Amino acid sequence: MVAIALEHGGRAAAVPFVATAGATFPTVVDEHGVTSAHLGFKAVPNGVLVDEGGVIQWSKYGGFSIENPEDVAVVERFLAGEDPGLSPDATPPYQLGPTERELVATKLQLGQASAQRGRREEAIAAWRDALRLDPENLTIRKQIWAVEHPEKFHPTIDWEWQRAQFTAEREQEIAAGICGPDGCPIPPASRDGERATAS
Amino acid sequence: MRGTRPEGETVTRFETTANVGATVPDIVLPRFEGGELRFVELRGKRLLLFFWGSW
Repeated sequence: MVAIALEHGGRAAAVPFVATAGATFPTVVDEHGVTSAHLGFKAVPNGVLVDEGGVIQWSKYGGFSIENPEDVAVVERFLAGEDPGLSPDATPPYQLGPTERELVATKLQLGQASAQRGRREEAIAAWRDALRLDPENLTIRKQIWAVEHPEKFHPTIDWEWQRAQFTAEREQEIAAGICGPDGCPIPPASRDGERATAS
Repeated sequence: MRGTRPEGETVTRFETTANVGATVPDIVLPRFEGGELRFVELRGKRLLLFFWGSW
């Protein structure tokens, strides 16, 4: 196993977790979202099973847990040389093109550099720029929340707040035309409106 | 930016559900304990990649 920590604020945030886990496997830190950009995932935790040739054989994006017996069973089966079975149906919604990917990485790098110098507002501005390019990227969004609303993360993570905040922010962004590479979803209300006009 | 793109990449989106069949690119990332990890060096054995965040 290799653990990859997505920490756009720098590796320091993950240190206590690595120490607590007493990691006996390689742990690396991805500060600039390289892995999420390549694999097209927008949130963590994720489990990806890779064969001897480096080919992905199974993946679970979102909700993967090494404490979930079902997930553990799949991993054990695969490591024993067996077929891991079908992946949960979780197609990443989109993947950025190379130029957007580079831009997002640059903005994340800027944000991290600012955060490490204690320039909170500049860091948030850079992360917001990255999020505008990749609005469904939850790792970037949560990084911003963790700085803007630390009380929602410590001592416990307020999942209810996250869900409500995500919905509210996405609604505002879509209304402002920030939709990601696949464009904006058509809101049901406007389809009803068209039908009403046509009839 | 660390990491390289998959060889001959022209497609900007994985078409396969959950990326099954895609090859993990040769990403290079810093290890917590120091040094680097090249993903290609992991080839030759079956592996779980676990992506997580502290928040």
